Amino acid sequence: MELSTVKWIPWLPAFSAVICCLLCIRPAWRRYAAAVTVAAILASFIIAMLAAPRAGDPEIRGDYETGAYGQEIAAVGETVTAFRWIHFRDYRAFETEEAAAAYTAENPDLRDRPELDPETGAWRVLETTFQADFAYFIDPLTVLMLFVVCGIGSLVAIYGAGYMSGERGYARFFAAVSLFIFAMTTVVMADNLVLLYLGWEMVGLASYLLIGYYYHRPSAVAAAKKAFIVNRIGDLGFALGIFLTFMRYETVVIAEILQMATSAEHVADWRDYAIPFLLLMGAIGKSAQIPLYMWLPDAMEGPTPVSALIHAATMVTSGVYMIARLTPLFELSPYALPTVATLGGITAAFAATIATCQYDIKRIYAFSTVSQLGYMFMGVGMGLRYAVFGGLFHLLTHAFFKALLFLTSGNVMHGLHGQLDIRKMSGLRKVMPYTCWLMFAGCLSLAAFPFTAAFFSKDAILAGVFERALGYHGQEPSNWFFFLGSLALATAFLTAYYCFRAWFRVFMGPTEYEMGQEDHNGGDDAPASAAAHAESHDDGHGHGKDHGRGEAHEAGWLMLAPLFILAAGALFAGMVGYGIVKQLIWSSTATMTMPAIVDDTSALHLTLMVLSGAIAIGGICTAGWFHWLHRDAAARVGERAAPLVRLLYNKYYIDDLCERYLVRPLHAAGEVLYLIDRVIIDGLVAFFGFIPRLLGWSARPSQHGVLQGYGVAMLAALALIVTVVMLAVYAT
Amino acid sequence: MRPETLIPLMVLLPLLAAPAIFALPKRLGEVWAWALFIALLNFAVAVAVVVFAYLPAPGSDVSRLAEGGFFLAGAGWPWLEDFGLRVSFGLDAVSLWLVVLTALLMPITILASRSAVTERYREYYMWLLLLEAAMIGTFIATDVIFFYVCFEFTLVPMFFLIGIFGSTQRLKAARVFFLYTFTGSLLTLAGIIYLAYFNAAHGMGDAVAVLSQLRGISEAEALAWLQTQPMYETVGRWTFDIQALTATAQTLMSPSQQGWLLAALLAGFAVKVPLFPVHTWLPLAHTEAPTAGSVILAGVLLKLGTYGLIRFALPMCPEAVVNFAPYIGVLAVIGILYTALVCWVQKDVKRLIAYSSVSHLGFCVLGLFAIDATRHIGQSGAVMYMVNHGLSTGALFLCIGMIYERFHTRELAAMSGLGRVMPVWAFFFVLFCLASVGLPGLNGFIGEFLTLVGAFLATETLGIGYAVAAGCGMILGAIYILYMVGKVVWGPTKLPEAHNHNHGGGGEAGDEGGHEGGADHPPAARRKLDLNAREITVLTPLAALCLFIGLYPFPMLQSLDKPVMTLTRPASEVVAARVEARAEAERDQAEQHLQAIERDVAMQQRQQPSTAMNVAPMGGPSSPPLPPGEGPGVRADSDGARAPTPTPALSPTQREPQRPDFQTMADRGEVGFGRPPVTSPHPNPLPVGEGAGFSEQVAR
Repeated sequence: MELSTVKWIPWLPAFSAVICCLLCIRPAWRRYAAAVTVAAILASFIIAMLAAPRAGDPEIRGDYETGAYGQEIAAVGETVTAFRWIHFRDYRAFETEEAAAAYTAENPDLRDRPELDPETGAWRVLETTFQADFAYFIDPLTVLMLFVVCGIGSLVAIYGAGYMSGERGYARFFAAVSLFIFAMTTVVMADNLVLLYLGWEMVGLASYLLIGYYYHRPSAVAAAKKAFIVNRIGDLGFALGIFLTFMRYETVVIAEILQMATSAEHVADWRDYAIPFLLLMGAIGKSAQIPLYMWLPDAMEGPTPVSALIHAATMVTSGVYMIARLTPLFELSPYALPTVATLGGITAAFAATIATCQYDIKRIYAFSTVSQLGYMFMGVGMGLRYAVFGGLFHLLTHAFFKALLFLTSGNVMHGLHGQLDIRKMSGLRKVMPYTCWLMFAGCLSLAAFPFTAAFFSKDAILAGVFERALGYHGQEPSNWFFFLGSLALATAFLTAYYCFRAWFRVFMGPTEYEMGQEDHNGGDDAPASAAAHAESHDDGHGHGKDHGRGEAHEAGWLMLAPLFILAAGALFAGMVGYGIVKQLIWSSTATMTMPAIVDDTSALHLTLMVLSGAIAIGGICTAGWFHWLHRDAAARVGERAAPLVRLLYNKYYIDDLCERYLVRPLHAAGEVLYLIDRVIIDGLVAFFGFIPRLLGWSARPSQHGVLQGYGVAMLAALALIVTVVMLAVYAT
Repeated sequence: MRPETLIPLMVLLPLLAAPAIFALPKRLGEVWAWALFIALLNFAVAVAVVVFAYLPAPGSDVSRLAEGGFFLAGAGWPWLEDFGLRVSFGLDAVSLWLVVLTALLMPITILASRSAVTERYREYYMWLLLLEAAMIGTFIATDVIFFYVCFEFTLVPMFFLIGIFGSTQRLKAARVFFLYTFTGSLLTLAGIIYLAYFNAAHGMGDAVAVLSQLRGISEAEALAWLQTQPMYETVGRWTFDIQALTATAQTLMSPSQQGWLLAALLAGFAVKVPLFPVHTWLPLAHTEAPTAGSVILAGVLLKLGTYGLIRFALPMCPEAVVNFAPYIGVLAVIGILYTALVCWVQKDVKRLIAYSSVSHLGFCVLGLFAIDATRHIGQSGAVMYMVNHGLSTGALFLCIGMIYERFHTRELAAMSGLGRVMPVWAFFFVLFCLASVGLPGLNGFIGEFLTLVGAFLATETLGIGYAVAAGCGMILGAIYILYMVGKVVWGPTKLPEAHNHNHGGGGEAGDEGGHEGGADHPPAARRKLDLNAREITVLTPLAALCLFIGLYPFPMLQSLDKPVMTLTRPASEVVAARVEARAEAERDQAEQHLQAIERDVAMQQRQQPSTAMNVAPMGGPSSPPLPPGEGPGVRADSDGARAPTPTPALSPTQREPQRPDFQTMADRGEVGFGRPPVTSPHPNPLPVGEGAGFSEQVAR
C-alpha cells in the first residue's frame, strides 16, 4: 500500500462521525451507527498497519542498537500532506528582477511571480512564512500509537456495540467515538504543532461529549464541563508553547523544529528553556498529572467503553506521546525532563494512595490510570533510551490491561444495573465467571505479576530510573532519582494492593450483591420532569426488555469477544512486544538524541525484576489477606486509621479547596464586575441622555422624544462641516 | 454589463427595493417573500462578485483577488465635484469577505424573521433592506464621505428596528444605542474633515517643506520623492479619496497630528467595536433588539468599527498607532477578561451572548494592534475573526431567537435539558457554541489563534504578556459558554411554562423535516418543539460555513495577505525603523563601551605592566572585533563569566562578556539575515535581524 494512503486514517472516522450524525435523524437508522464506526476504525487500523511501516529508512529500523541516534529526521520518518490549512506569506525582496526570477524558478511551490514594489522600486516575491497544513508525519513512534489508538479503538467500539444497545443515544455515542478517533489519530500523526493542537482540543471535545453522554444527570454535566475547562487550562500553556516555538524556530512543523533543535550549531536561549515547560502544561492537563488531574476521576461519569477507550487507553496518554515526540525540545532545557519525571513519580504515588481507599470500581481504576500515567511520565522524563522505551512500552501494555479492567468493570456494572460500590457486591465469580477471570488477567498485569505485560514495561521504566540514579550513563549518581525510583517501587506495592483489593472484594468471598438503584443505560431522568421520566421507561433504555431487573447476569458474546483479545494482550504483550516495541522506539524521533548504553546493566535489570516481582506478589497477598480471607481485619484496620481513610477517600480534599479558593472567588469577581458594569451603564446613560435633552431643550423647547437627539446632532455636524469648509476655503 | 456595475448594484438593489415594499399588497407572506427575494438576489450578486474576484482582470493573467489592491473599482459618479466629493467604490479582499458575510446574513435573518414579526412587517422589512444597503455601502466605499454617510446611516434602520420591534426596554435601548454610537462617530467625522482640510490646505510647497522636516531630508529630495508618488496629484486639492488621504496622513502628518486623528477615529470606531470602557451600550441593545437586529448588530455592525480601524486608523496614523498600541492592547485585554467574567454571572441567555461579543471583539482589536515589523498575522487574523464572529455569534443569536419564540423567556433558570426535547436545535446550538469558544476545526479557532499569535509575536507593540492575559480569556470563554450549554442544553429536562404557546412556523406547512431527530415517540405536543424545516434551513448554511472555514481557511487567508500587508505596511515600517534605531543605539553604546575598555586596558598596561600580564589573556580573545557571523553567542558568555576577574581596577571588564553579543548583532545587522536556513535558527533573543523593515529587506 502506498504511504500516501495514511492520510485517510483520520478521515475515515471523520466521515463515519458525519454519517452517524445523519443516522440520528431516524430512530430506525440508529442501530447502523455501530457498524459504520467499527468499519471505519478497522479500516484505519488496517491502513495504519499496512502502509505506515513503510515510512522512513528501513536501514535505521534494521539496526537495533544505534537506531535513530544522530540520524537526519528525513531518514526516520516521512510526511504526507492531505491539504493546506493555515498559510501566511511575506515578501522577500531582491535587488534585481533577475535575482527574483531565479529565486522563483528554484522554488516551484511559490505561486506568485516577482513584482515591483511601488514605493522602494525593489523586486519582491511572496513566500510562505507560516505554514500549518493537514499533513501527517509518520515514524515508528506514530505507528506504535496508531496501533494502540485504532486497535484498542476498534475493540472498544465492538464492545460498545453490545454495551450501548438499546440506548436512545446510540448513534450519538458512536458519532462521538468516531470523532474521537479522528482527533486522536490526528494527534499522533500531526506533522505540525498547530494540527497537533487541533487534535488535542478535539479529543477534549469528544471527551466532553462522551463524559456528558448521560446529560440528564447533573453530575455528568458537571464532570464534562470540569474535564473540558481543566484541559483548557493546560491547553493555554500548550498554545503559548506553540507561539514561543514559532517565535524561536520560525516554523511550526515538528520535523523542522526537531532537526534544528538537534543540530550541533543550535545554541539554547531563554526561549528554549521556557518552551518545554509551556508544552508540559498541556501534557499535564491531558494526561491528568498533578496539579491538573482532578478531572479524570470525575470523567468516569461517561459510559464505561468511553472510560476504557478515552480515559484510560488513548487520550490520556497523548501527553506522554507529546513529550516523547518533542523530547529533543525538552532536552534543551536542563530542568525540563527532570521536572517531567518528578511530576510523574509524585503523581504515581499520590494517586495510588487515593486509589487504596476508594469504593467505586471505576474510580479505583481512574486513580490507577493517573498513577500509571505518572509511571509513563517518569519513563519519558528520564531522557535515556531505555527509560523512554519503558514509558512508551508501558503506554502500550497499559492500554491493553486498563481497557480490559474498565470493560470488565463495565460488565459488572451492566450485570448489576449500575452498581459500582465494592462494598455492595461480593463473590460474583459464580455469576459472571468469564468476567471474573478476565478481570483477574487485567489485575495481574496491572500489578506487574511476573511475566505479564506490565511486568516488562514497568520494569523497563524502573530500570531506566535506576540507571539514571546510579549514573550508568556517565552522569553523576543522583539521590533525587534514587528517591523517585524507590517511590516507584513503593507505588508498585500499592498498585498490586489496590487492584486486587477490588478484585477480591467483587469476585471472591460469599456471593451476595445489591442491584444498582438506577439503570446504567441511562433511560432514567432525574425526577425533575415527570413527562420525560415516563417517556424514558417507554422507549429509553431497552434494558428491561431483554431480561428481568432483579438478577445479575453475564455479558453477551459481543461484549466478551473483544475482552479475550485484550486479555491476551494484557498477559502476553510484554513477551511478544518487547523486542518489536524497543526497535520501534529506538528508531523513532523520540530517541534520536540518545546514544546507546555503554555500561553493562544486566545485573541491575535482573535485580529489579526480582525485586518488583516480589513486590507485586507481596501486594497481591496483602490484598488477599485483608479483602478475601480476613475482611473483618480490614474493617478493624480501617476503623483504627479512620482519619487517614477519610482523607484518602476525600482525595485529600483538593477538589473542595479548588472549589472554595479558585472557582468561587472568580465567580464572585464576575458578580462584582457585572455590578460595576450596570452602574456604569446607568451612569453613562444618564449622562449621555442628559446632553441632547439639554441641547434639544435649548434648540426646540416644544419637542420631546428620541429623534430629537438625532436632529440636534445632525445640526451640530452640519455646522461643524460648514465651519471647517469655510475655513479651508479661506485658508487656501 | 461590465462587472464593475455589480458593486454599486449591491447597494442600489436593496435601497430601491425597500420603498417598493409599500407598493406591495399588505400581506405578510408577500412582503416577506419580496424581502427574501431581494436579499437572495443580492447574495447572488455578491457570489458573482466573488467569482469575478477569482477571475483575472482583462489584460492580466492573475486573478483580481491575487493582485491585492482594490478591484472592480469604479470611478463612481460625481457628487460635489468642487470639493472632490465622489461616490466611488471598490473592493479588496478585506471588504469582499465582509460584504459576502453581510449579503449572506441578510437573507438568513429575513428567513428567520418569518414567524417573529407579524405586525408592522412592511416597515420591518423596509428597514432591514435599507440596513443592508447601508452596511454594504460602508464596506465598498473608497470615498471617505460616502463611507461616513453609509456608516452613520446604519444607525437609522437599527434605531427603528430596536425601538419598534424590540422587547420590553426597547426605547431605552434604542436611545442609548443611538446616542452612544452617534456621539462617537461625530468626532470621527471631525477627524475626517480635519484630514481632508489638512490635505487641501497643504499646497505642494507646504508638503515638500513638511516632508523634508519630518524625514530630515533636503527639500529637493522630498520633492523628487513626492513626484514619484500618486500623492503628487492629490495633495493640495480637495479630495475625499481614501487612498489619497491615507497617503497624505501617513507621510505629511506629524506624530502629534496623527495622534489627534487617531483619537478622533477611535472615538467613533471604538464605540462601535465596542472597546472596553465604551462597551456598555452593547448588552442593552443586543438584548432588547429583535432577533434579526441582534444578528445584524453582532454579525455586521460591530465589524464596521473594526473595519474602520483597519481601513483608516492603521494606514493613516501609523506613528500614533504604534505609540498607542500598548494602551489600546491593554483596553482590549481588560475587555476580554472583564466581560468574560461578567458573562459567567448572567442570567439571561441573550445578554450572556451579547457580553461575549465584547470579549470576542477584544481579541479582534488585539490582533489589529499587534503591529510587527514584518508579519501581519495579527491583522489577517483579526479580519478572519470579524467574519467568523459574524457567523458564529449571529447563529447563536438566531438559536436564542428560536428559543424565545417558543418559550417567551430567555432566563437561564427557566429552562434546562432542552437537548432532550429539541435535539436538532441542541446540535446546532452546541456546534455554534463550540465555534464561539474557538475550538480548532471550527471557524472561531482560526481568528482567535492568529490574533493571539500576532499579539505574542509583536514584541514591539504588544508582546507575550498580552497574549498570556488574552489567552486566559480562552479559558474563561470556555467556562461561560459551557456554563450556558450545561444549563440550557444538558441537565434534567425542564421547559418554561409558556411553551405551549403557538410557536415557530407561523402555521405554515412543511414542518415535517427535522424534528424527528430526538425523542423516539414523543408526545404530540412535544413533537412540535424542535426546529421546523425553515429553521433548519436558516442554520444549516451557517453551520456548514463554520465547519468549512475551520478546516479550509486557506483560500481566504491567501486572499488577505496582500491587502492586509498594504494596510499595515506603514505601521510595520514605523516599528521596523524603531527596532533599527534601537539596535543602532545599542551598537553605538557597545562601541563606546569597547573603546572605554580598550582605553582602560591601555592605561592599565602603561601604569602597571606587571598586572597587565594577567589581564591580557582574559581580555584577549574578545578584544579584537570578531569576524562577521562568527559570534560565539551565549556559550562564549558562560566561558567568559567563569573567568576570574583579578583586580577591582578592571571592574568594567566584568561586563565584558556581553560585548561579543553586541558585536555579533552588529555584524548580523550589517550582513542582514532573513528567515534562517533550516539548520540555524535565530541564535539571538533580540529580533535585530527583523529590524530591517521593508526597504531594508532588499539586502536579504
